[in-house]
Amino acid sequence: MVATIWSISKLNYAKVAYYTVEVEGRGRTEFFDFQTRMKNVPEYLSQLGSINQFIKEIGEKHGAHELHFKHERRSEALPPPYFIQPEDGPSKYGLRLYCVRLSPSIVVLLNGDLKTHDYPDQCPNCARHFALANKISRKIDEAIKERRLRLDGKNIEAETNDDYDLFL
Amino acid sequence: MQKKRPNEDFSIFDEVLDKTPEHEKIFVSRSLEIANQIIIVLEQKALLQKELADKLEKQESEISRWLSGFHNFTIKSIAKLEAVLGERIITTPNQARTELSNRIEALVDDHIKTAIERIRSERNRPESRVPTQTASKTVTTNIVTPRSCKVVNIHDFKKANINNPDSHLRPTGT
Repeated sequence: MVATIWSISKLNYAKVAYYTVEVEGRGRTEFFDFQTRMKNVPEYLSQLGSINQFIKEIGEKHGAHELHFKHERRSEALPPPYFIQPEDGPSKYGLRLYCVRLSPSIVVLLNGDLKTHDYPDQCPNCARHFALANKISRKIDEAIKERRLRLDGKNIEAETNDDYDLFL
Repeated sequence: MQKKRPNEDFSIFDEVLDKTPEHEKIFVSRSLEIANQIIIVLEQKALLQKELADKLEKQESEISRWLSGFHNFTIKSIAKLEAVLGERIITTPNQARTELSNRIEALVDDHIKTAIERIRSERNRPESRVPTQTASKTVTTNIVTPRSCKVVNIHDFKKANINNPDSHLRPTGT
């Protein structure tokens, strides 16, 4: 399975450039899928608006400081993917969007859903998004270590176009 | 073959924002501003999140929630934060104007005081009271300082008691 990194040109702000991934065969990028699905659920709209406002504020004014993002406590060597989640919401846990924060200037927005369980890998809504976010995070980290991908300011640079493909 | 960029219209992002009540957007904005201000102060004071948690007698996870940008801070929490950090976290526009005005006033006062002191000290300098004299054409200057006892032109002076810091040199022929 291949996931390709794409920039979201509409979400290229002064301080942060946002990217997303397209998983082969899905027909749309992960973040677009998240926006489309969540927008169609009226109960989620308020939280979705808060998440979007967060993305915009971080992008325009503050930069993607690590402390602005939450992540699960895991014992693996790599930190687990970050997530964005407003406090009040339709469930105890709220709407959650997984992302990979690469630097204060680059964030890869992925997917998410309404979390209904303490542990994301046991939540029927979030488990697959959490699993994908973990894989994407690892693969990007490997690609950077192997210098197939480079971070330059707000840009994710690659040696060749094929290097934007992550083999999951 | 180069991959084709997905044809997606992300105006959906702004459509969601347009439908979001203004107060909810302002809430996220203010919460992030406060969170960011706390982060700035932590960095300035080289304080870790854990250390702040210890000082406030809270769990680190609670501090982490504060900094995530969605926290509904109470005035009490902010007061405790300001007390522990020794720095203001929030201010109102009126307070900011008053503080700026006070700082400008203090700055101007300082400048005026410094200028007055400089003028006074220039008037009080002993050498400024010594009249300019030209006893002989070889005296190029008669600036004398009690402490240094510099001899400016040795040919015009009969004695130079340079080892006596209290002696005063005077040009001859005066």
